[in-house]
Amino acid sequence: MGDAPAIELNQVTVRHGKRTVLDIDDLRLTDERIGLIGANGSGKSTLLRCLNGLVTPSSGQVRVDGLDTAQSIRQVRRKVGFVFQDPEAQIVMPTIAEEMDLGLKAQRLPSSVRRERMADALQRFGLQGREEDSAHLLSGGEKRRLTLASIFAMHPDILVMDEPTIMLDLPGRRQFRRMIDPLPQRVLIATHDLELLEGFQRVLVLDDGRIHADGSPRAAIEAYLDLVDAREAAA
Amino acid sequence: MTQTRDLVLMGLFAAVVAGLGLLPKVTLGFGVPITAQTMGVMLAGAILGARRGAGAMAIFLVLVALGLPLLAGGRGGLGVFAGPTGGFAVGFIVGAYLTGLLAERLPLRMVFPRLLIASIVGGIGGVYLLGIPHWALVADTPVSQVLLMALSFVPGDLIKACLAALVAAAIHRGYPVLQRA
Amino acid sequence: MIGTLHVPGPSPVHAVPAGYKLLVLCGLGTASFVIADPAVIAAGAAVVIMLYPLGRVPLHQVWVQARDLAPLLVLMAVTQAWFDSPLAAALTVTRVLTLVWAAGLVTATTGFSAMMAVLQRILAPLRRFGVRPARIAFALTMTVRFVPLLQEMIQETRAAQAARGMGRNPLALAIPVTIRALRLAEGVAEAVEARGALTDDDDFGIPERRHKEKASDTDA
Ligand SMILES: Nc1ncnc2c1ncn2[C@@H]1O[C@H](COP(=O)(O)OP(=O)(O)OP(=O)(O)O)[C@@H](O)[C@H]1O
Ligand SMILES: [Mg+2]
Repeated sequence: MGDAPAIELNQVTVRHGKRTVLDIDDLRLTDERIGLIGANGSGKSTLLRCLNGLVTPSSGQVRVDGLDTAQSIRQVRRKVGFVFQDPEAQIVMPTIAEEMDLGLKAQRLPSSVRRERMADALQRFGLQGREEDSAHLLSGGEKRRLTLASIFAMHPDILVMDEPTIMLDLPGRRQFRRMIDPLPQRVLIATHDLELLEGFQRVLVLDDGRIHADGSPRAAIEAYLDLVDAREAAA
Repeated sequence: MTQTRDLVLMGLFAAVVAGLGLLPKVTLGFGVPITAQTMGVMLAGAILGARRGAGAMAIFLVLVALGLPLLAGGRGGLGVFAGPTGGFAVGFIVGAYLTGLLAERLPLRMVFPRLLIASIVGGIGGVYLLGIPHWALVADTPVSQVLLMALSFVPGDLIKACLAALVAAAIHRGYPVLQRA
Repeated sequence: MIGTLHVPGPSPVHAVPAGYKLLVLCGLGTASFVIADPAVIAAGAAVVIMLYPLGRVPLHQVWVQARDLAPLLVLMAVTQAWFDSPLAAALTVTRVLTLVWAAGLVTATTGFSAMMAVLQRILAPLRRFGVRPARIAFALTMTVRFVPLLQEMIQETRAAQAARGMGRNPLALAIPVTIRALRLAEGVAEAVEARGALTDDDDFGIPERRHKEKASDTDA
């Protein structure tokens, strides 16, 4: 896969009405495993959505591999795979095979390539041989793996995930981690599951739409805990 | 080109109409069944507007025609359109369109009265506009006779229009995302 | 989940291509309005009924369909006999029953995907006017997806309200369920868009044949 392309944010703000929900001066992400933490409503999902063109910044630019997300949405979406928090919303098609095919067909791949990619991704995420199963009757953990497989099969350069472990039990979380570790892509995860961030290269803490801290998981988590403590003391 | 979001919303409201068909139907006096389904027609028009509302109904009817038992009482397939009530089914499209058109265009500030009028005129009038002539044609009965029979549905329809307008008004207040369509 | 009215084959009736079955059905519809003789139409009905066992459709279905229509048929027959003549009443009843039975037979012996394929063929010429068969197929899939989800949401919401001791107010059920469903719809639309699916024409849906494969556009 080679080096994954960089993500750059430049003077980015996102406003809803009068409220500014994201305000980031200058950010360049090149690490392999990046975490994003912060309180509810701090802007994690908003930041992730900017990377895939699902949210267009009110001002400033977001660039992936030099491409502006507002101008080159199609190319950007090919590079950035997005795993949504809620598998119910992400899983669209009735069967596993059709769900996998939705993104692959969008890339206009010949059917032989599609079959190969599908088999490979299902194998990787432990769903091999279940192509014809209903996608909606899967367990929570299986649904999560299907969403990962369907995005992975599209071979994005960057994988963005919004609270991917939220409905997984402890064994499920561990299994998720084991599946993420060998992935060749750059992975960006927003989460409240602090354990998941162990071994990540870089973790950002968001607070009220701004970057509050940025560093190793240990340093970032400490800064986050301090922030929460300070807020509680003030209240 | 229709946006993905619009397609999903149309699919959703086709499902709403199908879901309402699963509610038990009440049968009035001389065998006139009242189903909750026409409430879905009004909701689709009042919430999605004319174009998307009519699209939702078209999707619903295509699924019925393709053989899914989605009409009230588990009816479906092409037989529905051959039967005497087929015109009412196709009238769902007209009904949702009219409801939506009135909901969008009526020069009334207040939301609830606007949606109520839209639901009554569009959701009842629009559906009957096709339903009654089709019945008259299939049954070879004068339109005036059919109209008389149809009157017995109207009280139930008015209740449904009220409910639909209340729900749609609440949606417009609590989920304004739809208004930017 | 949603059932179908389809009956599994194989049978000679199943074997007839869906397009032909629909054509015959249209022809039958027209003929039944041209022929004004209840006896002839009744003979047609008899032929249709004989095709049921041939298509492996339980004869019981003939009865079920007639039973569902019975109240309406009685109503029609009575008004007709009163205002017109008993002959006219007989004509109407036989005509409606024959067409409903014939259409029911087509539905029972034609698979969903075969019907969908015919639909796409019918829609294809409309492409010129901006109709996109692939998008219509997508919306149909969405409906099939949402019906069981809505049922689930209704049950959950109802249980949550019962737990809080709330009665069965239809509005208190309909409003939150509708909002939840709308939110889910937004999420689904986003998820489809994030994958770049449905951005143009024919990258979704059934007809593999139409799917032009560009070797040049395969992965780098
Ligand atoms: N479409 C919208 N309209 C108005 N406000 C919005 C919209 N989307 C997000 N917001 C607001 O933006 C803020 C940031 O939301 P965001 O979803 O990014 O937070 P988050 O960090 O992901 O929170 P959580 O941990 O709860 O998922 C929130 O206060 C939210 O209310
Ligand atoms: Mg979030």
